[in-house]
Amino acid sequence: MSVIFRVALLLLCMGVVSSPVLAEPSMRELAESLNQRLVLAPDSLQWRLPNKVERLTSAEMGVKSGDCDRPMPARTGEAPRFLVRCVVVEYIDMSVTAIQLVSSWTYKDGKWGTGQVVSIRDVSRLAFEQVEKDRRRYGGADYASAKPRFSIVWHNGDERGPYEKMFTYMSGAVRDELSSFWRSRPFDESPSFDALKQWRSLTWPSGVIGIRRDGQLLLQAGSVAGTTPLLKHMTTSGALPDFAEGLIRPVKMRQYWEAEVLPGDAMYLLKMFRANHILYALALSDRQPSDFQEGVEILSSTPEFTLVFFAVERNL
Amino acid sequence: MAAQEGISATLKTRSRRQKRSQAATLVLMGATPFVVLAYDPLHIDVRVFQNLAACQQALPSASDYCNALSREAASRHPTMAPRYTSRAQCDTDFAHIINEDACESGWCSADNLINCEQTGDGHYRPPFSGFMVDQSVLTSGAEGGRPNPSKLSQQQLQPVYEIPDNALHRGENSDSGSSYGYHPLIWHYVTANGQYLGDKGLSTPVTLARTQLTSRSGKAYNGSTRRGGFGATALRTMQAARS
Repeated sequence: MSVIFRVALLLLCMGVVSSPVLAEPSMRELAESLNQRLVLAPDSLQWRLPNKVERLTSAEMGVKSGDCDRPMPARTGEAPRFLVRCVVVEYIDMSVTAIQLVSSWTYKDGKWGTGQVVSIRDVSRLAFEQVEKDRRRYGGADYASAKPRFSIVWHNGDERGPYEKMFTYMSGAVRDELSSFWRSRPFDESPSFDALKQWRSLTWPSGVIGIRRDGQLLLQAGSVAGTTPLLKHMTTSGALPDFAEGLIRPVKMRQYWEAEVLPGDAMYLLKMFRANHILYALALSDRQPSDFQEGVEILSSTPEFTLVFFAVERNL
Repeated sequence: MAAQEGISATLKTRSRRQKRSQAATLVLMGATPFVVLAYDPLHIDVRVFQNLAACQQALPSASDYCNALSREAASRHPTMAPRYTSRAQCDTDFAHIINEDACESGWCSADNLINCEQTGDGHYRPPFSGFMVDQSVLTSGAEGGRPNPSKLSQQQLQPVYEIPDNALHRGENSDSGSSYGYHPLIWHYVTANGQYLGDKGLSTPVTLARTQLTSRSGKAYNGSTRRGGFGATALRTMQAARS
């Protein structure tokens, strides 16, 4: 009796343990899921061109298996979102044209939504430069570089922010850096913001918008008087958590007729990128999304932290 | 007849005298402007050097003399520099970035940041940032003359200081004292008493009224000074020079 009872109890426990758990898929799993579809079943996905309402199939878009890079996270949490860069080759005016499509994909209610194309860019020149580089390396005739046949097309909806802008222009090296960041995500789920509060209690000169762990400064128009206390504080123990490269304050470029807008509150600087001659910052803050100024894109938000991305529009 | 001859000779002599006198007057009239221009007691031409190397570049045949001039100007710095009771106020007037190439493109080292220095008696002053020399002293130096630097007056040799664009224009447009909008990499040369000399690209002689170089040594600014201080003096003299 007792043996039967034990077996029954064991089976019951196994049943409980092995019952389907409704855990949300991780960002990595979702990225892999979307990548599998792009590679193995592109026709199972639907696309939408910038500022258009019609849905198109991958075949209608000219996107084939192997045309797209691995998806990159663009927003975590509820309704996670990814960006995908594809390069398709078209014949335009009897010439080969390499077209880059950056699309945004949201996973909601257990399925992938329509891929909104955020930007369309003629990257023929970049593609031909690569070909030319290869030819020079391996010998052969020179190859005339192509000029863009059309100017860049942008989507004017919510999916177009600084993150998408950088994504459109970033080089392979920047793509690797960004990918590495998402793989490692160097901060934990409940990062401490005690050090950040101390930084905010200091007076920041109007001309200083960033300071790195090694004391390097990022400047904009304004005064640098009062920088010494910041530099001194940076040398104190525990001034920055290990995951932060430094501190950054979001700024918005203003035209000469616009009123003065002071930089925002300091945040932990996680990573900085440069694309198309513009600096971009990936930063971590304890502020809520509603507290952020225009131009600051929220990539992740939890009660504990907000991960943001913005163009560093220095007024210089 | 004899009388007539006498009168005639007298007239000739007088006429010759008059001609000589007229000629002398004309010569003097012609020479006067040159004499006046050669020595103008009211004005002085000065050259500004950011450092010893800049002086040696301008005066390659007298690099050792540049060294002596620089040393003497530096020795006058402690007594002539403006003095502040507060570091914050001193930095507000003088903190700036010295190397724009390093800072314009992105992150730059704090080594490029110029701040005020503390004096032995607990005050603050801008650092020695170069010197100003009477052009005639340099000309003499180039020709082999070596006027003793320690014997040169303050009008002929004194330290100069660098003031950032935002400090120069502070309070120009608003009452807020905002420095927003001015480039942190642009700065200007000023004398110890706030006389504007030129922007950081200055390479030609500057003509100044001698009275502008009369220094009240080590003018003190207290911590509560917000407007109308050093920057305002420099701005006023800059505007006067440009009008």
